[in-house]
Amino acid sequence: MSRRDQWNQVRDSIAGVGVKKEQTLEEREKMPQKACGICKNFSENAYVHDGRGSCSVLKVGSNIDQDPLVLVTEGETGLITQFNTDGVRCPYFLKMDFIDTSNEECSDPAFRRSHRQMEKL
Amino acid sequence: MAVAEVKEFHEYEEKHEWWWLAEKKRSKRLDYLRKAIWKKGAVGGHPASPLKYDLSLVDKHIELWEKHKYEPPMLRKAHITAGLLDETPIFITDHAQLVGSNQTSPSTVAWLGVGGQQNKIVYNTPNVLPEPLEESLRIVHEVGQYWDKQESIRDKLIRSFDPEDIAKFMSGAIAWGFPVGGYSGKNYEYFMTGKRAFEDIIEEIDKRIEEAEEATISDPRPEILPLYDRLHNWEAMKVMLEAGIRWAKRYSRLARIIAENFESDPKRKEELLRVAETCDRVPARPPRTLQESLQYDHFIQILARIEQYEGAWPARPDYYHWPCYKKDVINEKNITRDEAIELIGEFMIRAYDVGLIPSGGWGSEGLQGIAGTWVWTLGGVDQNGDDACNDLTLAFMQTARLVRVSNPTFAFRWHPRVQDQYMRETFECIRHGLGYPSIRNDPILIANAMYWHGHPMEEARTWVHQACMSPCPTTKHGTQPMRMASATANSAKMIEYVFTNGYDPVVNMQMGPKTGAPRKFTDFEQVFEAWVKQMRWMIGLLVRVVNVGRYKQSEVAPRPFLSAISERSVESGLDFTEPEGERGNAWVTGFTWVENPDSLAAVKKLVFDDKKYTMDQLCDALEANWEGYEEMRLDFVRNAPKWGNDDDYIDAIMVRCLREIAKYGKEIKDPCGNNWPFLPENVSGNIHYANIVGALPNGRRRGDALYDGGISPGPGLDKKGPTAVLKSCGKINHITDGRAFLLNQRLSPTQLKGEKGYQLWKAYMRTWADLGLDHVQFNMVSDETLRAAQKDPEKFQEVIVRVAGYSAHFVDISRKTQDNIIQRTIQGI
Repeated sequence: MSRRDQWNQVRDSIAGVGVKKEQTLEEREKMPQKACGICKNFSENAYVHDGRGSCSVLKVGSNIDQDPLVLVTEGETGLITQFNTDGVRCPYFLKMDFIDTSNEECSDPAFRRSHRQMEKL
Repeated sequence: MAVAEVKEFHEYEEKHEWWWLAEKKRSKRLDYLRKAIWKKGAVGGHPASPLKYDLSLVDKHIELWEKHKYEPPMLRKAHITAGLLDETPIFITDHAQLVGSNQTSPSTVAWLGVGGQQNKIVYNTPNVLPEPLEESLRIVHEVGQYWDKQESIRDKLIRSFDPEDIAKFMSGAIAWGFPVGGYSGKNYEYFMTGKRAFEDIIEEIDKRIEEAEEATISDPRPEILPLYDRLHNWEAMKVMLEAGIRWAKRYSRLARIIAENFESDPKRKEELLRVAETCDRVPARPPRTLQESLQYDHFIQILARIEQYEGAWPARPDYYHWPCYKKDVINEKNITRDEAIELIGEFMIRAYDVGLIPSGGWGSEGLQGIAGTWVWTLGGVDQNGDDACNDLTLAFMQTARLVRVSNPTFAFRWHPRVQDQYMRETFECIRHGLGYPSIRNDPILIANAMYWHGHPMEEARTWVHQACMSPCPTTKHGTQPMRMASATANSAKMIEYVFTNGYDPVVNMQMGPKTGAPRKFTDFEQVFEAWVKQMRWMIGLLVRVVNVGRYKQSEVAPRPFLSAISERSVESGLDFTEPEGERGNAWVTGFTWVENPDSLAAVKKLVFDDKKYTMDQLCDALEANWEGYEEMRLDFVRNAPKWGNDDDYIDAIMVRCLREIAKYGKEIKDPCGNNWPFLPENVSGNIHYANIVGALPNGRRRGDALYDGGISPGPGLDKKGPTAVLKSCGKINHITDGRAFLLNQRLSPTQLKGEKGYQLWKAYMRTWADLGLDHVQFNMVSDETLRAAQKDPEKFQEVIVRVAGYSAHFVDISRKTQDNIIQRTIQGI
């Protein structure tokens, strides 16, 4: 695969290009108990403040939605996933410790933006 | 003034409770207007509650889009914006003399509806949608689905960049801002000199259209081909100007309706009729009075922001409003100075009231407490080099102390012939804890503009702050419409990548070049060489992306209104965002800069000079985020040279780093073919990036706040006093080593009391000027006050602090940012 093709893939996943855009309200409202957004391996990104982030374990090419799972752990770029992606089948899911604090704090280590749907947890 | 009142004022001054003093001293009207504002800036990084996003225009936006879908981009944009202007609800605040808002009501910010990322942000953010929530979510969802089927700016643009460049740009590790939009530069010399207003510009456009139309139906030849598109552009500009006039007349009608039907107080009735007369006059025709002048300016600013988000507010109000002020207050005495101050105060409050939907986490977290970095430029010289300070300069500063808005702030252009009264007023504002004006060295910055961008001296002298720091002329070829500061580098990553061989462990991506395994470096020059490569890679990538964004801007997000008030657009028919005809005024903003020289100095001293540690040991410690290496970490914090202590060891490294960047800044070019100098500064990016930047050799752990920016020493690390800080900064050449250099300093309110305090500060400023520094800004608020504000924020709502390139109310910034400001060394001078 050429350099451009490889990076086209990465760009598309970061920017959400080509990602399924039509979601139902129910899909947007869901907040799984084992969501990526509350996993210690999930890193947020203020450029994709809509809830995307990257996984520090799984790499581009992985897919934790499908059955069987596709788990790629080698490569130079982390998998881009959503804060409310269901990580129930992900063997690397590690729930973070919650601190009951005001959602006005920002940019502390392991900070998680308080997306509205997270109130359901 | 009654004795009791004097005593009360004195007590507030003694306790540094300037906000109570302001409340007592300002007029009832200003007090009301100031308190009638709903906060618009992000509070601690989140939209200020109970501000809501108004969804009432989303359907109208879709309707207009459908109606004009197949028009050329500039014309479509104009028709849509004009359609919204014709129907968006307007309001007049009680007791107001100036009108115009980009909102549909005082407590809401209008959301026009988009798909993609911003739709998700609006959908996912808590507490911003109106009740009933389910209904609002349904609307946002359906609107998002509609717009996702249209071609978005992101979809259009994203494939224009090199895919690796844009993926790394969007990783969130090294960049800030978007490569399109944020345009706010204004060609004030065209529309603010009193020579023309909208009707005059329409006349000019009509002439251009007539000439172009004649050409396009004449004998075919290549030269007429561009005119076909330009005809659409001129039409679009005219649509916007006419819409602006109609919009102002709606305010005129509303003011008249209120006056004639609902107002029983004869004085207020008279005021409303004056508002009506003002809005009938401007922006159609040039202003004749101070009220008309301020209203004209405000209408233009709001129209520009309704057209598109503007990230800054370049302005020079004491210069451009001076003719009307002089006529009304000094020559003809049509209004008193106090009445003028009421108008000026309201002018500032109207600006403070402008809200927007945050563009993303980087925006709300990097600009905590404000809606944009609005730095208004005061003082300086005119195009002939004569002192431009005047009574309006004083009036603005006096008014700022009364209204105490955190935005706009001021920057004062100092030059050697500035009279003492202007320095006193500047000092009073700082002493009152506003955190502004910042002080700029006019001769240095005029020379800098000529050196880096080749602006002729007369044009360079017209300069205003493009955003927080960078000067930009306001002339036909000198005005840059865009901040171009989305070539904004998270500079600390340069040194971090030296130690990770270009890999970013936070975003899990090979970001920078592989500059070699750091454990194998055997001398400092190898470290420095790796740093230079990371620096050149990062700046090159950011600039490439922003250049493409600028190149594509007119296609994806045209600006018909901004073009209509810009001479070269009216003349050429090109979108103002097109680089053609512009000289260029770009700069690379360097957030989180001083971490680089501090870290390099630490490595050089402790690893290679003193040989106290090996590179292996240092790499182990950094990979562990210093956990388990606390003693070693403290060694790197305390015993390695730190910037800001007049220490040639580290100061030489700082200068060397800057000169490497300056060298590269002349090799890379913007779309106009001009240079890209570096400008170290910050907003609250040092907090926003705190958990994005890993451990560094200056002793910092991932998660610690980064330094507060520019060339400011790390908080608490400047130990030799304020003169040492200035001397360190004076070793940089502020003309040739970069575009400008932000310096935060914190002063003691107790030490700088009274006349003695002013003289001390003046002496400090003389040293600052003698050393050739270009910028300094001050916080003058005690730790006691700030800690008390943390404990009881309700009692300290009006405390303002200088964050970095902007000020904010202390209670509106996150705890971490608050602590970072408290940590800054209070300099005794």
